[in-house]
Amino acid sequence: MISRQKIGVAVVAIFFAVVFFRLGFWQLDKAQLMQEISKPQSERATVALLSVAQPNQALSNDALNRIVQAQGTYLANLQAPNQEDVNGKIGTWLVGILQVEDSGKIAIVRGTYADSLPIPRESIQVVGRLMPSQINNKYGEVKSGFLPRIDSALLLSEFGSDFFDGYIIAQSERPEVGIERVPSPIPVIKVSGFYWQHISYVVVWWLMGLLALALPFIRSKSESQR
Amino acid sequence: MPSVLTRYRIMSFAAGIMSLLLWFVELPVKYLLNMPSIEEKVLWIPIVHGYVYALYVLATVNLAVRARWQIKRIILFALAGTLPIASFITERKARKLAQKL
Repeated sequence: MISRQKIGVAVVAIFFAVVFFRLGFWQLDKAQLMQEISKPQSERATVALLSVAQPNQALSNDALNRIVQAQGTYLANLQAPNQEDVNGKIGTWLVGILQVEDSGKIAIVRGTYADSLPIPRESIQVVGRLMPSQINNKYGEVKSGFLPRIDSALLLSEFGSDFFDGYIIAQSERPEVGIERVPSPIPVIKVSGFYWQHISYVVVWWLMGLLALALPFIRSKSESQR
Repeated sequence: MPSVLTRYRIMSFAAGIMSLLLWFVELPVKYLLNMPSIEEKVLWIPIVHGYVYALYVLATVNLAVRARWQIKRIILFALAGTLPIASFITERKARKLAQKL
């Protein structure tokens, strides 16, 4: 006859085993999510800036990293020093403030800064990747004409309101001005290390589950051998 | 028995070192510093700690079965692998317990 104590021990062991196995599956799901995120994404169709974003509104997930097209005139050229591109090349970027036709203003990374580049007076069509505003300063000194980070919040006092959130890294301008562009491929999220971290947690949790199931038998053995 | 104890001692040292690195290097870098470039460099610590800890638990169970330990001691020894220094203490304790057998 099975004693109540043995039934109790079995119930507790099964409970912990189920909890540990569930935790293992939870970590497995997280590992698979990491793997999914790290897969290369395909480029989506180019859209008009105004169809995915509006001035004074936060960028939606759908708008982020998309290639957009905007038409307007440049109000000013600024310098953003100490910027790093996707290839790790550090330099000063030329940032134009574009007044989008019949809409607000947006910062455009026109390319690598070069002296004596005049502000074009005619209407310009810009095609480029829409990026989120930078959070951390890349450059410490605050002076006129320089941007410590590319963030529309820093431009409001000088250029007024009605700014789009984020900025565009230009891939082309029409008419073309012969400027060295900053590369802006589809962002790749590096999560391979995190994938193996979660898999290691899967191993540990499932091992704990097996241990929870085995412990009552280990005790039975030790008791029977006494 | 000596080989089982040796395996446990090796794994308790390895788990102890990895726990020290995890608690005093990886976790402060991840949660106290906002430096993704350094975080990337210490990412190997939790991964290695995870696999070393799994082996440590296996070595603990192996020793526990041979030495006929009670459940409470097995659980305490298994948990020691997650805390810094604790596995060094259990390693000494395991040596003393083995000498009594």
